[in-house]
This record gives sequence, structure tokens and C-alpha cells, in this order.
Amino acid sequence: MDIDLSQFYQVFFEESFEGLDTMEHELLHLEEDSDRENINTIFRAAHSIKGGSATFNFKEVAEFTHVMETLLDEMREGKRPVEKETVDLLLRSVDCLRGMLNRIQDGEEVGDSHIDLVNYFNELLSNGSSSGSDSPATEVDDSSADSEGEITRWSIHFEPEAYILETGNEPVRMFRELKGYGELTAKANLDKVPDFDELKPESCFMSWDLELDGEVDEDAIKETFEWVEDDCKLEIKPLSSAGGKAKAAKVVSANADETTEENEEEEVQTSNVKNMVPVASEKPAAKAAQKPASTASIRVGIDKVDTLIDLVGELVITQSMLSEVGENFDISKLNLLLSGLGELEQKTRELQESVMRIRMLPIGFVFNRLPRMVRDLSTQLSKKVNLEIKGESTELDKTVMEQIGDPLTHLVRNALDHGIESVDRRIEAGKSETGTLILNAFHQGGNIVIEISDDGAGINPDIIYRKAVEKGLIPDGIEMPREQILSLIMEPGFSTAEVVSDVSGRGVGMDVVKRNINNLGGNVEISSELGKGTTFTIRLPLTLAILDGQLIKVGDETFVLPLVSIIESVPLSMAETSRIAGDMPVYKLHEDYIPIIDLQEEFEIRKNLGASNDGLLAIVEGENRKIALRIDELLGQQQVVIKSLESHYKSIQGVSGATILGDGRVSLILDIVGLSKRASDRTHKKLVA
Amino acid sequence: MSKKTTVSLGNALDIASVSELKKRFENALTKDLPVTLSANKVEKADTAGLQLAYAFVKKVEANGHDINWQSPSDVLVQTSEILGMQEHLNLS
Repeated sequence: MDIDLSQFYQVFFEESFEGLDTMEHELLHLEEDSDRENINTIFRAAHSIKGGSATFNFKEVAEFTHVMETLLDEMREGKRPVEKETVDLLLRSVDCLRGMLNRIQDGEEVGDSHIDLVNYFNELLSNGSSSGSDSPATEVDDSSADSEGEITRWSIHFEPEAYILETGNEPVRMFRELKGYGELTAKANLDKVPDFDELKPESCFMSWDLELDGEVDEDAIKETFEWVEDDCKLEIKPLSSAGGKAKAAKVVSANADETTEENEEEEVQTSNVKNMVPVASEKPAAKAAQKPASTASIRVGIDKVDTLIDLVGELVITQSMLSEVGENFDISKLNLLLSGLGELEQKTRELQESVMRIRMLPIGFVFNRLPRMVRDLSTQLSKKVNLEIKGESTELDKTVMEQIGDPLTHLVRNALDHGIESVDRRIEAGKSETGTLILNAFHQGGNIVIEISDDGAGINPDIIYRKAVEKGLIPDGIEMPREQILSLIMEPGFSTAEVVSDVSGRGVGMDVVKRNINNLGGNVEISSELGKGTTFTIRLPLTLAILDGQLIKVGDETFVLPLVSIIESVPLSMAETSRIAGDMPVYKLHEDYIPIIDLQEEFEIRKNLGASNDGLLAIVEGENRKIALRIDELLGQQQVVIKSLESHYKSIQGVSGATILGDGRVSLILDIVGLSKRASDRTHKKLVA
Repeated sequence: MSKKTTVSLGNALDIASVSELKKRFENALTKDLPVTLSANKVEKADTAGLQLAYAFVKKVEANGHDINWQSPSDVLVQTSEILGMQEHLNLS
């Protein structure tokens, strides 16, 4: 077995980032509810990060989390009160750790951004009420100060679980650390080591009886075994007490010798985080640089995997039933065959749904990053805001979720900056001084709906209208419904902020929000009541991997149109068409003229001579732009699995991906927005020419 | 019969190499001869490695053959001492 630790980096990073999210989440609740369990949760998260980073030799991270842990320990034991200052410091530390881990993940140097915080921690710890803390910077001094009467002989029985070596925990290292406290005598018990033939060499079948003769307290011994405390039987008993300064001196010198020795051997240290002098971490950085491109992973609940296995089992049964029917087929078995095929179809659909569910994650992953932002921003803006989160367990596709994070953050920032009024204004308006921001998520049909509502000032449509006219977005005097006026704030370059703050109001953002959501196949609606508040409603498809498609035929080629984009289709013979400037053919749809794109010309498809001249116009819409596609025939509708064209070939404007049809042929999925841009670019070129 | 077989432990007697080492030990056992463990190059040693060496020593002895070490490295001796296995491995 060849253990290459770098293969575990990705898991470590994912777990650490999750741990940091947990810490942040709990820290935000700490001020209002300083429950011991909250602090324990934060402590455990910090502890896991410390353990992992030490195992992978990310020394700076291990050292940093160690001081955090010391502070948390004091809070846990009630020696230090939970104060805003401490919570702020810990929140800053979470940010700092996130940055450090990101840099390590990218193969960069860790840098020294954490050193100020470490110093601050040490200062806080040395000023604090806790005398029993194991503040690393003062450890050696403490031992000499307490040297009198503390020297003890300890008997330690250590019986690890068989898997301990596979988790990277090495008794040699622990014993060596114990040796740092004094004279260590180890006696290995090998009775349980199996016969050579049956020995699993990576498992540990040994246990040890150790005797430690040195100035050390029980806590320090326990700390040596802290990474394995849940994975072993550990008994620590005092044997006898002695005293004397001579021996204390010996301990210190033994410690120093050992440190030198350890440095020479360059063993991977898991818990030696006593030396707080920051060390440039060339090793991890170099290792990280060598790591292969990281592959994202998701955690899947065991129930989902079990369902999948059940379904596969049923599918195999159906398949073998069908094989049996097929072997000696005669017409009397037709009904059996048909019912078998029906079953196969049903199972396949269930399997598909189950597989898709594996990619589904609760939206809480995105929501959870918002309380921190709301807390920081409301302080910055001197506003009082109460954030309510509902429906955080609503699931959506991982890819959708990754891309919805930024737009959501932007909308929340916007609601805080422009929506919710300052305390004074709220009191003037007869509202409570604390504003409410509600985030809600739920499923509706095949969509996930996310609502961001505030009880702020609301949006004044008159101001929006005036601004839009000023900016030339709409002609003056045009009649528009209220919702349409409100949606103008999502047009590029539109900003009504009187003061451009660093929170929002830069004139970019809302249009990007809209574009990002549109790119995900979703849309945003705004409803607002002056003086009462605003609600942004985002509707997104549950998944991006499967699309409800309409198959269309152009020449001999079959294309797929997203079903949601189709408005209607009309036979060309009945359509009212004409040509406008740039020789662009247009179709009159109600009162509008929309461009016609002939897909045969667009994709240079050979004309199918057998086909009649008549065809169809499919009227489609994307990002509020309508176009008419000239096609030969509408075929069936079916769900298609989207394959990326970019990763297999290259990106093509007007094509969002490809899929494999039932007959094995590859079909391109059309991108309406891209097609309409292609058409308008071409017309523009013609006009210029 | 003065024939014997020598197994070189290479530079690592640790968890990363135990699987491969076990196969080498198994090969040596098939020869049914006294064994010499060549350990002068061992730079890394840990619990898994020494546990495997112990099981191998016991097996060779149970087969009625002698087993001895050829210039064990300092790292090997120190690790066996720290784990309290020096006597069990005949490394003292």
C-alpha cells in the first residue's frame, strides 16, 4: 500500500471549509445564545481542522487553529466570557483560515496574514483569567515556574483500535512526544499480533504499557493522545511523586534535544504545535502545486444510495425477465414483452430521478453564508436587521446552487443597502426600528422558488420610470405596467442609488443578477409596495442536467429546443413576414416585429430536396427577446440529457450543448439568446457595410 | 545445510511499504531457509513496519529456522526501542 497523502487533500479541504461554515454559523448565534453546546460545536470544528492540517503538515493552519482552540477552551470552561469582541476575533479568524486554506489549495504560499491575529490571540490569552491554559508561547516558562513538586511517574496503558495506523496516527510519534516530557519506557504487548499469514499489515494489533518518569501533568499526556482519544483505550495512572529542581532542568533539556532530533528527521508532526514561530511552508505548497486538478465531490445521504441500489437491482430483474421472453419468443408472449418493456421504462425513469436526486443539495448551503454578511453589513450601515430563513432544506441541483450564490448575495446586500431604512427613518415611518429580511425557498412544479423579501421602503416606480427615461432606456411618455417598470432596475447600467456606496449601487449588479439567473434557465420577478417593502422572486429549474426538449427538424438534421422557450409555432404559409433594414426578414407577432432566423442558412445545412417549400416558424423567447426560427418540421417532445459541447468540442454561439437521441444520433441543443445575438450581430454588420 | 536467504528491507519499513514487503517476506518463506534481514538502508520505520517484521520473525522461527539482522540502521533500532520492541525483534 502506497500512501500518497495528497490524495486526501481534497477531502480535507472540503471538510475544513464545511467546518469553517459551521464555526461561522455557530459564532453568529453565540452572542444571543452562548450555550455550552454551541461553543463545543465550534471547538470541535476547530479541532478537526487542526488535526487534519497537522496530519498534512500545513503547519501554519495547525498553529493558528491551536491558539483559537485554546481561547475556545477557556470559553467552554467558563473561564472567559462570551463577548462581542471575542466573537468578532473568532469570526475574523474564520475568514483568515478560509483564506489560508484557499491559498494552500491553490498551491500558493500561506503568507503571513494570520500572524497579527495569532499575536492578538496570544496577547488576549496571556491577559486572560485562565492560568491553566496551555498557551503555547509560554509553555516552557510555565514548566520551569511550576517545577516544584510536580514530578510524577505515570503508567499509561495504550490500546489503539486496529485501524489507527490507517488514519495516519502513529504511536512512534506519540511516544516520541511523551519522551519530550521525561524518561519513557515502553513495553509492547504483541500477544494479539496474528500469525504472519493472517496479518493485515496496515492494521495495528499491538498495545503498549508505558512508564513515563517526568514533570508532566495528566492533561499534557492526554493531549499527546488527543487525536486518537476516540480510537483507543487509554488509561493514565500516577505511580508516584517525586520532587526537585534538578529533574525539572533535565526535562527541559530533554525536550530541547528531542525537538532538534525531530527537526532533523523531518517526521510529519501531528501535534507538535508548540513552536509558534511561523515557518515558511515550502513542503505543503510544493505538494499542493503537484496535486492533480481537484475534482469536486458531494456528500450523498446513504438513503439516496440505497434507493439507487434497490432500483438497479429491480432493473436487473426486469432485464433478465425480458431476456428470457426474448429467447424463445413467439407471439403468445407479446403481452409479457410489452409489460416488461413498460416496467423497464418506469424503472429507468425512477433510476434517472434517483440519480438526479444525488446531485441535489439543500439550499441551506447557500443561505448559511448570508447571516454573517447580514450581521457585518447591518453594523457597517448602522441598521438593525433581523434575518429570517425559511425552507433551507429545500433541495436543488449542485450546479444551480453554486451559481445562485452570488446573485443571491447581491440581492440580500441590495435589500440591506437600499431596501431596509435606517433606524431613524423607520421610526419616522412608524415602523419598528429593526427591519426584517426574509429568505424563503420552496418547490413549485418543476422549479425551485427563492424569495427575498424586506419590509423596507419599497421601490418607487415613478423614480424608476424617470431614471429610465433619463438614461434613454425607454421613450418618454410610454405606458408601462408597474411590474415592467420595476424590472427596469435590472437593465444594464441602471442604478438609482443617490450615493454610490461600497455595498451596492455601483450601477452594475442587478443586471448581472438577472443575466446569471437567466443563464441558469430561471427568471426574477420584482414586486414592491411603497413604504411596505420589496420581494424578489427567483424561479429556477431544479436541475441543469436534464432538459425538457422539443425536437425539430431542419433539412436532415434534428435539433433540440428547450420546451420552456417555445411560445407558439405557425405554418410559414400563414405567417405574415416582411423585410426591414439590413434585409432582415421579420415576422409580425401581435404588434411586434421579431427577426426570423432560417436555421438552414444559419447552420449551412443542405436543403432537403424532397421537402416541400413550406415550413414552420417556431416563435421562441430567451431573456425577454423573441425570435422566430424557420424550421422544416416539429418532431416529438422528450427529456434530453445535456452534454457539454465545450468540454468535448468547443463553445459555439447559438448552441448550448448536445445530447444523444434515442437512435444514437447526436443532436445540438439550441441556445435562443445566442442565436438572437448572432442574428443581430449579422444584421448590424450588414448595415455597417 | 548452510544455505540461507537474504531479504533486503530497502529504505523504508513503514506503512507505505508493508504490503509490498509482505509479498517479499512470503517469497522468502517459500524457500524454507534461514533468513537474514538486510536493514542497513532503512531510513523510515514505523509501527506497521515493525509489527510486520515481528510477525515474520516469529514465522521463520516457527518454521524452525534462524533469522538475524544484518547491520540494522540507527533509525530501525531507535524506532524499535521507542515502541518497546527491541527484544521481541532481537534488535537489542
